[in-house]
Amino acid sequence: MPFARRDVARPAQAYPWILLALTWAVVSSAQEASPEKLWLQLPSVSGAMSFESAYGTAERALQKLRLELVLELKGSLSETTDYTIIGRLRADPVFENGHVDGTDFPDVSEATRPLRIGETAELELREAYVRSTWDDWHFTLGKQQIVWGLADGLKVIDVVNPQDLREFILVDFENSRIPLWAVNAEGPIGDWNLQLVWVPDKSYYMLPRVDSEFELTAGVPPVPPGFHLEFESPDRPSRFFADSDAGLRLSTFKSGWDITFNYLYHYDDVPTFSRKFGLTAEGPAVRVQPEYARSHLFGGTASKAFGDFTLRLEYGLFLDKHFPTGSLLDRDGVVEGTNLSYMIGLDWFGIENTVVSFQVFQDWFSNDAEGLARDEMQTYTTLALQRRFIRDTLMVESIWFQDLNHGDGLIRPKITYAVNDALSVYAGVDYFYGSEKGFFGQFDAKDRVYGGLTWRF
Amino acid sequence: MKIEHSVRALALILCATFAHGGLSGAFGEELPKGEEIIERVNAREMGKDVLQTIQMKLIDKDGSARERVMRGAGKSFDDSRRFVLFFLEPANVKGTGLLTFDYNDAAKNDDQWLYLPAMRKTRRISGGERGGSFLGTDFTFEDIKNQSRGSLLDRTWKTVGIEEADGRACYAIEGVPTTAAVAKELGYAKLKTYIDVELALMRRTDFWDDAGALFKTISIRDYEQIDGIWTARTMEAKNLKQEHATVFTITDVRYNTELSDEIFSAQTLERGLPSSIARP
Repeated sequence: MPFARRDVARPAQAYPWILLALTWAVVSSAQEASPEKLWLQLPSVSGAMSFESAYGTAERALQKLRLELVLELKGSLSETTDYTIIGRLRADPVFENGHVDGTDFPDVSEATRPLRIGETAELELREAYVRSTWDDWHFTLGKQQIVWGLADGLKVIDVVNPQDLREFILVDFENSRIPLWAVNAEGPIGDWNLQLVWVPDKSYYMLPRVDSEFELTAGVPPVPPGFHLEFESPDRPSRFFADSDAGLRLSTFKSGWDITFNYLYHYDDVPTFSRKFGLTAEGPAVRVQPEYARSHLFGGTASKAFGDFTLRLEYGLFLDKHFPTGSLLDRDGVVEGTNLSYMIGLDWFGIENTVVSFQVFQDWFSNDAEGLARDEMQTYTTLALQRRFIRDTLMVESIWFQDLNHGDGLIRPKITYAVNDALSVYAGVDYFYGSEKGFFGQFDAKDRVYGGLTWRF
Repeated sequence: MKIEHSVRALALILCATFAHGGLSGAFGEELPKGEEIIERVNAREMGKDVLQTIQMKLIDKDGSARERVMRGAGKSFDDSRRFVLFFLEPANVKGTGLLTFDYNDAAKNDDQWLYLPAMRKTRRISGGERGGSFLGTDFTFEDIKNQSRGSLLDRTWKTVGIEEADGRACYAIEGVPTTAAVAKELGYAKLKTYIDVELALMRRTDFWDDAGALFKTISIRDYEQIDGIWTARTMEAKNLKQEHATVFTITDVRYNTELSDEIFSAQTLERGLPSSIARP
């Protein structure tokens, strides 16, 4: 059967609420500050210029040659209203940025995606928000990062913002998290702190493209023999209100415990690939399209210090979670179920200037359907060591990820030296090992050494 | 010169002995106990809340220096005194925040949280690291927590005489950790602190290691009364072994500004201080 053409719904071209929010902020501020005061409150400018190069030891080729400039502008509109604008310019003539088919960054909304400059550079408005305080309530409106959870290196409930996975998980979350246009309100309710979030921005994980440096292959069902694979553009939700995400976080401090309860009604930022079989001029084909599924997240965190130890807990129950299956009997190659994910972490501070952290992650999926491209229960561990020397000017650290299901892993030693308050230099290794079916082992041939420098101003 | 110095010190000590009859009693009586003096220091008016800017200078043995600027707030609660501190400068530590709950119950460990902007997360840190360096300075977390006060927890105090410090007559009091484990945790075997006889202000503290070697001194200088509260303007820690020093210069001090309780929370670490008090 030939493929029927399907028009992919496009998201709203703009976010009129952004203008409304900014207008509100300015108007409310203007009521408090005279024009003279506004003029006098000049913004502060800070930023960082960095250079990083990575060499693939297995490929014997450069993986990355990146120059990056980050500029941050902060200022006040009144005694109770601030604004922050952060921009980032990146140029890298070596790394595959994922610009394909003339469509730049199809996983993210037009209002959020970076501006592509030629084949090697991109300019991005990383954050742009106004924060205003009324009594004890704080309102943050605009493009921002909303960070939940306590886990390091891997995520459980840090799902409000999607992530740029073009370089796998090798970029720290601060820089790989995709900031979204959102409204974020926080304030006290008795002994609790309530955070309410509304995210109308329909942006999702920025996935590496086929044949790019860190193309994901593990957890992807195989293409049936005799078929060739075709991709459609992502089917991103497009209704402004009905398809927005919303949630809340309740936090408190009781008997030495930091406790949060989190809820998010959201689209899972990781797409499932809906599958269709058909005939094309090139023969039998399987066409897949990234789709996003609605999910309810019920989660939480807890942490407490016990002497030299700190215990961290994090859990998330995701309802209506979708995962791909390779079973040819399944209608669209997608199965639905309930997903429970949790992390138990222990940090040890027993030696001065040293932190040792151990984490166990488990991820369970209720639907053990035939051909499921994952195990029913998946277990990962991380072991991290960090030690500071010479009055915090030299830092040696390493994190070791282990996938217990497939025996694969990733080891990331790194050394950073602060030459002075402005300039720091660093070098490190990313060493992958194990089965190509594993989350980390799929990049066994992508081991690399890297080095760089950062100048802050 | 040496004679002049001795005469001046003797004069000060004599004056102090008479002036401070409340604690020292009549001439010839025993000196007050160490714990009593520390209690008097700690009972000093500290204000319901305080805002201050701290300029921090780290000086290497070759004289080269690195500077930091922090903005801090503190407030007394029913069960604790709470502090929140943010780095304003330089850029590589800007935004880093530290929140401490120092409980009135001396047996209860502090609760501490550290916010690292590079991770955009607040981390619970162990309150047990109190003998560790405070953010790479010559002060320990314990020094910062106590500031110009003394801790009656797991230390014994003994008054050993009246001596001069910073040009003032002071009770000299020795403090010794109660157990070897506490000594190891605090990072010293013995300390000697100098308390102004007249004003009950801490002027200097010297620290000795297990081998009996003096390895660190903390000098607290330039006291002045702000809103009726004695306030130290300079705190200097010198590590004699490493030939390194840290100087805190405290400015823009404001007491009793009715700071909101909500400022002393993990959420504030993530947002930063309210703009009305974030800068001097």
